Amino acid sequence: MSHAIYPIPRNSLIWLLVSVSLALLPHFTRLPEWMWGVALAALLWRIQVFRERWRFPNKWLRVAFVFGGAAAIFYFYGTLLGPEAGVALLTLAYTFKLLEMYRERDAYLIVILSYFVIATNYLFERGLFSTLYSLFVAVVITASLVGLNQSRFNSDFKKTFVLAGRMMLHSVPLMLVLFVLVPRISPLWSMNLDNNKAKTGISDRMTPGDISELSKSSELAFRAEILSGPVPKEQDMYWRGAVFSIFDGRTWSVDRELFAAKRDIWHGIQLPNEKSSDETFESRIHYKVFLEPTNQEWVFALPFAEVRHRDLSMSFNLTWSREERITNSLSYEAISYPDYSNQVNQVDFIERELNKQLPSSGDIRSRAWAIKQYRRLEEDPEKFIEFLFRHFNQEPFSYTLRPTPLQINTIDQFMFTTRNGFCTHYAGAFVFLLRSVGIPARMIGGYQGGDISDSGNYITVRQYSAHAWAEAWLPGKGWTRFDPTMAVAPERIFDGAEGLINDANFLADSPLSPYRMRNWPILASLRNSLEHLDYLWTKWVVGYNSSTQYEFLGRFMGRVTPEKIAYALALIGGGCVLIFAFLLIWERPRNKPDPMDRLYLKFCERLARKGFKREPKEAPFDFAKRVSEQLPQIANKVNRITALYVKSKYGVTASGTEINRNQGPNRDRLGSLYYELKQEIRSLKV
Amino acid sequence: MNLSPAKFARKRWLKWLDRRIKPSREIRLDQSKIFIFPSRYGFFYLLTALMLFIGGINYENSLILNLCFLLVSLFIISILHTFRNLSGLVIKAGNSEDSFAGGQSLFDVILKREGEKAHQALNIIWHDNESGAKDVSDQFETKTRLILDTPTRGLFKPNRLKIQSTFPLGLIRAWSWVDIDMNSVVYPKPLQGELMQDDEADHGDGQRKVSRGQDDFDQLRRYQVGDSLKNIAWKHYARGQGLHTKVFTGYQSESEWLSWDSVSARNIEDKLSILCYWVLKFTEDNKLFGLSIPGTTIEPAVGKAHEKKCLKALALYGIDSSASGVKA
Repeated sequence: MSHAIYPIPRNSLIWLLVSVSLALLPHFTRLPEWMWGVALAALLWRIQVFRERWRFPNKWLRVAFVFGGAAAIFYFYGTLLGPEAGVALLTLAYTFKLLEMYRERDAYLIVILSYFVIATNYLFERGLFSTLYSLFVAVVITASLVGLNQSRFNSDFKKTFVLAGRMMLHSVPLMLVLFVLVPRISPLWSMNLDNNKAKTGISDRMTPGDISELSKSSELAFRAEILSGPVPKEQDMYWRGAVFSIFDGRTWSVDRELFAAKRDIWHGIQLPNEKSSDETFESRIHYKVFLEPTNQEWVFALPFAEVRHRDLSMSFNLTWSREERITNSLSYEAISYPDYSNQVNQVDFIERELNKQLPSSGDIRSRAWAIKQYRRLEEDPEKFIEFLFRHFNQEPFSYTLRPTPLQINTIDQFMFTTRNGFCTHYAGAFVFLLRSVGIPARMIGGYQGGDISDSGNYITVRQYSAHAWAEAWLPGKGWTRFDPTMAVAPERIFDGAEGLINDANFLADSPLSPYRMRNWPILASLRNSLEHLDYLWTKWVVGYNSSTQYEFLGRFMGRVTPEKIAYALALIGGGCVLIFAFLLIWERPRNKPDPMDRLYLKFCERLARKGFKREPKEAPFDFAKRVSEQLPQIANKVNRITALYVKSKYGVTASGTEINRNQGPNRDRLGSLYYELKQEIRSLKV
Repeated sequence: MNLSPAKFARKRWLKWLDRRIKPSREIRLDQSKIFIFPSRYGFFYLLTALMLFIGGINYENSLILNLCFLLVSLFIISILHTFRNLSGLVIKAGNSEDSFAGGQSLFDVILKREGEKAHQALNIIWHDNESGAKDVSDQFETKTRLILDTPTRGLFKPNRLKIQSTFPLGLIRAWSWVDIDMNSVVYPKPLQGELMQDDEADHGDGQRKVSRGQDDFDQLRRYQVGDSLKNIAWKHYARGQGLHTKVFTGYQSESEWLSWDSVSARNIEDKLSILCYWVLKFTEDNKLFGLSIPGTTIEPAVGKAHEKKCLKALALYGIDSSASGVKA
């Protein structure tokens, strides 16, 4: 091994291998399985090199590894860019670097890469516990830095870690100060995380079956904190997100052109205001939503919503969206007027026409059936809708998360043959039937319900609350919400997703989801506290952006100005450093008495009470002699104690051999001497 | 004086150091003597923190920003820890050994701690020699031996020694330049050469010079420990008269004199080197000899102590012993 000029110290190497393993661990749920194998192989190889069983791979083999790995990633992801392929590449480089780690410099590179590996994990996981875990990994990385810089004589595995932990603890106060005070400047350039493989959430296309996947997941969708106004009832909580206007006979999809043609439509809408002082205004709800990344443009709000965020604007179909996809957590405030109806939308006729369109062919039986029924009901839209609800309710339709798969003419199949399904099936069929008779109708994707916290001020919405419903345009009323699922499974609406607990498919992917623990009171309360903690974490840490910062700092410094922040940083940050400087550096040399001396003095004190005072310069053995002559009954004990003390103190045993106080095993012996002496003194009856 | 700017700056710097950290046999490091600066890896580390900051800002991810803040805090805290590791350390001068020009001299430096605080992974760098990582943790004192080159004759006064440590994280380097006021005498490099027999150039005024050589047996004296075996009167010993040493000297004086004019050489250094050779040779041969060079006269004697005395006189010829023998 010609490379091993400055081999990395053993202590540091072990800590480095541990930190590499720990830093990689959270990434593996996202990486393809073969990368597990590659990383494990690299790690094992390095361990074998460390044990001097194997050699480092030679240069050509390493080059082959790197290109082979990159090719495999390209093959797997179809790209080398983007966060997922990027993380995969970083992971690969990180594990291969292990096979090239000979010198101090390589070790430092591994350390630096480790920090990046931790950081990239934050792009995907932002929970409290995963963050605590990553901080623990940071301690381990620090331990490997300590290992690199200590002398070989003082490299105790445990001590290294303890020192790293202590340094980390010392750093925490300053870190918090920086976290709170350092201004959050706006992004220098736009970075879009294109999470094509986002696991959950409502996508821009909806094929029957999609939402049943979501119902298996208890992942967080968003949280809403009620700032003012009444907390809505669970059955009224329709978090409106996407509007699916286009139907191709099988799949409903979002009209993306509409996003492109976005424009300010506020002109046509008269919002309630304080002057109108009607009930619509009084019942408004002001809340703040903390949205998890969705990888879609739209956000969720209770209709009719006025969202207050500079990047979010409203489209024709009253959805709120952003230009770029939401790839990071986003928070926004919104005011909703649940009782507000918006028929006075001047540009709405385009939207109405758009929402009458159907594929040119297919599902003929349903179309004919709808037209027949509509005519029978004197072409009254409201009566027709009422009829459809009754039809779903009285005919043998059933609600299930595991519906019979549909092939072609899906609406016909569903309406007349299978007659089972969940929200997307019912909403889809409902909209199709309305459009068949010329009533403008659209399918809405969003969430229905949510867990209201015990304190009642925030609502947690998880993926299993994903829902689809319909909106129809009625003359004189405008767009009105209809939820056909209600006709089939009212418990889904009134009890929230909870109503589905008996369905075997519900939460099938989350065996440990908090939701499943509902029936255990202790677990439920624990879950509630965790939920609350998580809420606070999301709000104050994950969601700590410039506006939260201004809000928080405003509580202490009034109007927040850059000067004030600079002063606060200098004062509090500087204070932190000074305190630690004082604690660490101006540590007075304390003359702690030797523990052995302390015990011996205690022994002398006890004898002094009996009248045997040790003379200032009297040697321990002389004193012992004097005492034992006059108190023969304890002579044995006194001699033994004195011998133990002298042995420990002066390193002289009875036989005259020396013990070195500085060496490990002897230190332990000193420890045992200490306890022996302590026991002897304790059992001494004077 | 024609000094290049670099040399000038160096001179000023050394002057400043001399005022700031005064030479002493025992120096305790404190904030006025310790310099501290990020190491190469420290700068890489800060660059990492900067990249994390940009990433955190651009991805609007406050946890990435938090990691950046953690790195920065750890960096600042490690300044304190690194400083603390050096602060309070006492550096003491130990023994040094004399040497010949072109040879090496041993210097012992003692590192001592005050109080409970341990000092770890200290590296002493002195004339490009490194001691390697030394700890003063369990023991109260640690002795470190350094071997320094002594190229020229005279009083060897090493430059300031540098004591440094990157403990605990390697991101910050703390160091100090200390002058523990150690020196060693560097004898001239021995050079074989002829001893001249010049009557005129005698040290004694008008005295007759006798020829030298072992044939001119003069007398016997009782054997003393240290006398050369070559000069033992074995015949007398065989006769049972005990050990005697034959003394070969002129009748006027029993001793040889190594004097300034008894060697001829191109320059003074060579002259000193040749004299040095003879001092060593005579001592090895156990000859009684004296040394007389301008400014110094050493009465004839034998033995190691005498040799050392003579070598020192040769080493320091023409040198003010109080001044530094080697330019810093």
